[in-house]
Amino acid sequence: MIAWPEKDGINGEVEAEPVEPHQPDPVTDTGPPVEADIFDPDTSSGPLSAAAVPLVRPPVRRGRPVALAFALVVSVTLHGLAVAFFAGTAARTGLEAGSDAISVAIIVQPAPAVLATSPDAAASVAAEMETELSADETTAPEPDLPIEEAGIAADEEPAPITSPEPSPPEAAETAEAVPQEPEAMHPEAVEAGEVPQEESTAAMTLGFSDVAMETPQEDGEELSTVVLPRVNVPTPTPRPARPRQQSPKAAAAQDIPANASSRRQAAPAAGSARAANGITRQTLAPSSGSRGEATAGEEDAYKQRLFRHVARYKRYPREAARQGITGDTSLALTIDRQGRLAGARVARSSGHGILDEEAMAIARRASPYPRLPEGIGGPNYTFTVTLRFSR
Amino acid sequence: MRLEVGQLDVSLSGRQVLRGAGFSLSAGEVVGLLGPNGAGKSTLMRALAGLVTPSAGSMRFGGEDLAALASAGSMRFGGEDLAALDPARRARILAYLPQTRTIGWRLSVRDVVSLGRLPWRRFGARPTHEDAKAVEAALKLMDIAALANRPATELSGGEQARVLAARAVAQATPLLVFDEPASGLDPAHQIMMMEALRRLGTEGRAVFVSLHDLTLAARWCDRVVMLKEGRLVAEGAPHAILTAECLSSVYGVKAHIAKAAGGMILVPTGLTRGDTGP
Repeated sequence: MIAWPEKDGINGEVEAEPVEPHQPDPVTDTGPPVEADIFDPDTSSGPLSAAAVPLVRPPVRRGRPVALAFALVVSVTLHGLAVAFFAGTAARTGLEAGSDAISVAIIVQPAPAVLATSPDAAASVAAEMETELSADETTAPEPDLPIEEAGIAADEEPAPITSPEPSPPEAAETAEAVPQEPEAMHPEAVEAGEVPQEESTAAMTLGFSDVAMETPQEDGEELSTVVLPRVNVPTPTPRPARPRQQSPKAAAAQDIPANASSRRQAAPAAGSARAANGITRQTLAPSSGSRGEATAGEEDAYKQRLFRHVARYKRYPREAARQGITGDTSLALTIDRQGRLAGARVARSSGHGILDEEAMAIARRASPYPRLPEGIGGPNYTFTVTLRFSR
Repeated sequence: MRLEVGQLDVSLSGRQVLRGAGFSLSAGEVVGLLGPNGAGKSTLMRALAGLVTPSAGSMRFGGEDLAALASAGSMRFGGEDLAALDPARRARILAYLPQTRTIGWRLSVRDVVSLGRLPWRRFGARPTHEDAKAVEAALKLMDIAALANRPATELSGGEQARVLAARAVAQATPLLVFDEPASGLDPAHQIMMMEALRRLGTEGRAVFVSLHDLTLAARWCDRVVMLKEGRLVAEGAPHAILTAECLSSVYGVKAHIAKAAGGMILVPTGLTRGDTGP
C-alpha cells in the first residue's frame, strides 16, 4: 500500500524509456516495490546495529556464573559419554575376541581338517594345497593327452591343459571327496587312485565346454549328452570306486615320479586308459590345442593366491555362533579375466542356510579376486573352495 | 537405487519357505530368479511386495550393531525398508506382477492399464497428461495398443497377462518384480516380454523376474539368482551359473547346453536318476 506511489513513480520512469513494450506487466511491477521495502530497513540499519551492541554485552557479564555452571554440566556429560564409549568398545572388543575363537577355515583338502588359524596350520594348508594341486596337474592335462596324441606330440606342449573352467573345480571336488585316507598324502597314490575317474570327467567337461564355446552344434549334441550324466558320477560315489581302480592303476603309477614333471610320463598311462575307455576327442584337437597355457607351477601359485584372498574375507556369522551351527560349504566360484566374480554356486551345502548364505556373501565380498595371469583359464576361470565354519 | 535382501526368512503356516535368502539388485539390471517349483521364488517376490511378512530377526534392536541389523531379514531399496512401508508408498517404489493373472472387471484394456497410475494420483483427481503418456507407453511396450479399447475380460490368457504387465509398467516404479511374466505367452511374445524388460532395465529401472525357461534366463538376464528349498544356491552371470552340474543339482535334470548365435540355448533332456545332489 505504501509502495503504490513509488511504483507509480517507477512506472513513470519506465514510460520515459521507449524500449519497454508492456508496462503493466504485474511481474515487473511487483519487483521494484519489494526492493523499496527492503531498502527502508537498510537505511535504518545504522541505528539498529548501534542498539544491538549494548544489548549483547550485558548478558555476557551477567552470565558468568551461568556459564560456569553450563561448562560444568558439559564437562560432566562429555566425560560420562567418554567413559560410556570406552566401556562399550572394551566390551565389544571382548566379544570379538571371543568370537575369534570360532574359526572359519578354507579347506583345500578336508581330510586332516586343518583350521587356518595359526601360522603353522596355514603352512600345512599351503602344503596340502600343493598336494591337492599336484593332483590337479596330473588330472587336468590328461584330457588333453589323447588330443595331443591325435594332433601334436605330448612333449611339445609343456602345459597343454586347455583345462577349461570346469576341470579345476572337479579335480578339487574329487580330491575333497576322497578324504580321510592316509594314502592321499602320497601324490603317487593320489594320482593312481584318481586317474581313471577324473580323466573321464575332466575329459568330458573339456569336451563339453569346447562344444559350448567353439564347435558346431551337431558335435555338441552327441558330446554333451554323453557328458552330462557322467559329470555327476564322481561327486556322490567317489569312495567305493577308489579301491577297485587303484590296483590296476597303481602298477602303472609305480614307475612315475611324484613331481609335476611326471605328467609327460603319465601321458601314456592316461592315453592307454583313455583308449580302454574308448573315448576319443580327435575332433576337438585343433580348438583345444590352439590355446596357450601357463605352466602348472604358475597355476598352483595363482590358486594359492586365490585361496589366500578368499581367506581374508572369511567371517563366522554371529547368529550361527550363537546357535552353535557348524559345517562345511563348498563353493564353485567363477571369475572373469579381470578377477570379477562372474558366478558363485553352492557346490555342496553345509545343510544350514545361514552358513551357505554367509559363504555366498564371502564370495561376493571377496570380489574382485586376483587377476587371471596370462595363459591360465579361458575367458573365465572356475575353482572350488570349501569353507569350514567350526568352533 | 539398489535392492538389498539379506537373510530373509519367511514361514507360511509354520513351514519355513525361505531360509536366509539374500541377494542384491541394482538399478538398470535385469535379474532372473530361477528354481524348481516350491523353492520359494513366488514367496520371495510376495515378501518384496509386502504380501507376506518375513519372520527373520529384523525385530531385534538392542545390542546389535547397525550393519547386522540392516542385513538381518531386511529388504532395502534405495534407503527404504520395504518391510515397513505403507502400501501407497510401496506402490510408487515397486510394481508387482503376480503369478496368477485374472482381470475381474469388464473394463477396457486402457482403463485396466491406467489403474496402474492410481498410486500417483491424488484422491479424486482426474488423470493428467503424464498419466495418459505413461499408459500409452506401457500399452505400446507390451504390444497391446491395438487392443486398447476392447474389454479386458474378453481377451485370451496371454493377452490378459500382457495387460497386467502393462499395468505394472505404467506404475512407473524404479523396481519391477514380475512373477513368471513369460509363462503362458507364445514364443514371439515371450521374446517381446523379455525385450521389454531389458528396455525397462536400460531406462534405469531394476527388474527382478522369475522364470522357468532357462534359455530366456540365459539370454535376457544380466544375472541369475537360484533358489532351492528356500536357500540361495547360486548367483552370478548366466554363463557361469547355468552349467550342467548346477542344473542337475538344483532341478535334477540333464540338459543340453549349446552356444548359438545370440546366446546360450538350454534344453532339459531328461531327469538325473540316483543323484542326491549337493
